Amino acid sequence: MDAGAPNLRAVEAAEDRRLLVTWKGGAESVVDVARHLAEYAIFAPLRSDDDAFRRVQVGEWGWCVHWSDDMEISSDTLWRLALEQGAAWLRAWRRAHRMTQAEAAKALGVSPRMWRYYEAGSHLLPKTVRLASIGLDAQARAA
Amino acid sequence: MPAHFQIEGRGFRALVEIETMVVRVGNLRRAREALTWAEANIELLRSEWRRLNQRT
Repeated sequence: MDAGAPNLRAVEAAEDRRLLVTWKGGAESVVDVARHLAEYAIFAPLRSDDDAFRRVQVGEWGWCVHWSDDMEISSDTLWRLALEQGAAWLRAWRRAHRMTQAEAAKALGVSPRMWRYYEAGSHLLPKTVRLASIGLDAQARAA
Repeated sequence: MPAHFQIEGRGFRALVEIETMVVRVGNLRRAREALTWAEANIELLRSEWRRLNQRT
């Protein structure tokens, strides 16, 4: 039996149809839910109404985020999306820099094994790694 | 993921498949009572699943 995703401590709406999610342990993920909202009919009221989307809240006990009794996304779904999107984001970043996984891991001071985990989507991409990759870009531009 | 529902509480949740009542994720802990309710209300769970998971 799978232990599954951790529960949620906080959520707020970010740009477009993204959510800034804080997990129970304090880790933060940006999760794009645009496709999820587009896929299920029940979420129709949130697609074009920014104010309605911003009224997102963490459900009781932290096992979902919700906008109403019917409009909710489970922490399991958000966790899966966070893993998938974090992995895709990091891979895209690395490929844009034409680096191997080993080179990218070295550049950001991450162990090669952890880098593989992040790109495989088996470990949540930490905020520190996401910001470090953005920081490396900023440093390169300034040089 | 097949049709399912969640039983939630402080510090635990169980993701349960509707047709088999098999716990797919998490654990039941103090939720046995909820599972008994679910077994008696399977038709409601099926119709709610269809309503909430209708694709666009």
